[in-house]
Amino acid sequence: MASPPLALAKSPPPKAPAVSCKRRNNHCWSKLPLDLMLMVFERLGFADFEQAKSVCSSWQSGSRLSKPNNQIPCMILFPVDKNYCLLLSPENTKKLYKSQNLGDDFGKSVCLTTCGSWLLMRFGYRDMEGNFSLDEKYNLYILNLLTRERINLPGFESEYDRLRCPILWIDEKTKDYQVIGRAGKETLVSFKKGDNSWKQTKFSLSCFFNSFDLVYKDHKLYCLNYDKLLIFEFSGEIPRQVTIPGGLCIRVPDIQWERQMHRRKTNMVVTVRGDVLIVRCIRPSMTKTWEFKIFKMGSSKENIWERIFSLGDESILLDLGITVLAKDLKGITSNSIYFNANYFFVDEYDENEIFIFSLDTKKVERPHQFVSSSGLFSYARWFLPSFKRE
Amino acid sequence: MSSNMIMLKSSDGASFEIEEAAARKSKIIANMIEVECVDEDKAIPLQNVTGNILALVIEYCNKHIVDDDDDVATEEASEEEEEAKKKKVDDWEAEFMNSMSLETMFELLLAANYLNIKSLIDLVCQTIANNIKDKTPEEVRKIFSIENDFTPEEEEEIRKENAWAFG
Repeated sequence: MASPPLALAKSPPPKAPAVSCKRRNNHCWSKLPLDLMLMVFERLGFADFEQAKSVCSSWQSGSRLSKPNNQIPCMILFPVDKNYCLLLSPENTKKLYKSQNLGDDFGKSVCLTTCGSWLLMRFGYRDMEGNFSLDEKYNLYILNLLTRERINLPGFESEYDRLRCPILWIDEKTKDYQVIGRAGKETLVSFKKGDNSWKQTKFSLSCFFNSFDLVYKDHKLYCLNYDKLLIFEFSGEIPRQVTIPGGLCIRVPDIQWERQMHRRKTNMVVTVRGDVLIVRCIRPSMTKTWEFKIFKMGSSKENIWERIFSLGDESILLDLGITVLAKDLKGITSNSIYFNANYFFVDEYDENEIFIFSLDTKKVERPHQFVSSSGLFSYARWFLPSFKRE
Repeated sequence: MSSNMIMLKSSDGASFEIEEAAARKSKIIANMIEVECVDEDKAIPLQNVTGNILALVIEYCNKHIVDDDDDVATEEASEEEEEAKKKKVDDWEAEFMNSMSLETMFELLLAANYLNIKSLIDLVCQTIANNIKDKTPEEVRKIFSIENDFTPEEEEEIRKENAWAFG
């Protein structure tokens, strides 16, 4: 028969607040039940979360269990010769967040790429004329922006001039990491946690500087090689080429641009679902405007690249070669390209080189407009500060 | 849809009459209705919710009674209509949250959690997050009347650990 009507009230519900809280009790908010506290923290962006955890000890311990939203791209700036970096978060575009001292050699290094809150840094130096040059020997280190944890990598001597398309992957929990790049025309180099020296893998890569790109996702290395796409399984000792349905490689479309171009670049992007996109970017002559064409690998049988005009709920982070889900998230614009044309040896912030391009409106958005007016000269890039801490 | 009325009783003995559809916003009450443990003549006692807070909860539920009822197949509304409707709800929610003190908000959050009203939990959490945004820890403490319970040593440690400061 019907259970007693007061069943709910008689036995305390599982979600009952742990602390009964009298009004006028000043300590209320520090005693917010953990599950609710975490729900609040989830709604904070990077910088606000960092502030909130220093409010009191219970918020601090709660913050360690929190998974704040790390899917909001921030802009990170590297002022010339400074031992700190600056962060611009979309939550407050009028404010610059400054990091603590990241080491005396930080200003003498350049950031090659990022992975979460980790930066892959390479030493450089200024010559007599004040020009910035990179260290001949590949002295690399990995640095965590938040904890300032640092991992030095062994020197890397190469007959080649530089590590191209550098990739950093790190597991925030286990600190397993992997650094991959291309050296010279036909060599992939990699170093992972536990290795004694850099591993070299020869491949026949016919490289064209503007049409080569590497993306690392889910232990797979995607290698865009002028007109071919190669995928390597990178979890074992030796990288193993993965067969792509429909053949060893898929020809990438040769794209005709209608106009004379001044600059161009080709990037590869791997989407949330694992689809491969090719983003061709050009800046036509006599203009400061970049234009984009995006192609997606078609159905496996046809082996063709189809031009696409929408990313749906996702957005491309070109610096990281990935897309992120942007639906219903504050601080991120969906169906957009977070574009950055700069190379790391460029000292200046140029608002025409780093921006958000909306595929919906075909308009350029510069949420960080005040950077350019601040006279702050700095290399900038997009990154996702996955700042969860164990 | 039935328009049955249900009685709710707060911890301090106040009784409220509420439409069943509105009461169903609370998963707990909805479950009780499903398993038929709601006696038509008796009010459901809610031991953890005081009358003033329960009044707010009911106000919220009444306002949200129609908008996301799964059983009702809404007619194809035009995009503008949808948007206008959403804006109206948003405005109401903003006004609703604006009208209460942080202390009330705290109790409302606990009540929403107890009654398991997901959308209300989300609304209050978002409002709290908005109150934390762009503030220093000192300012947050002041707004929420939170005591700084760190020892000087701990504070120094946190200062070190926290890489980000205001630039």
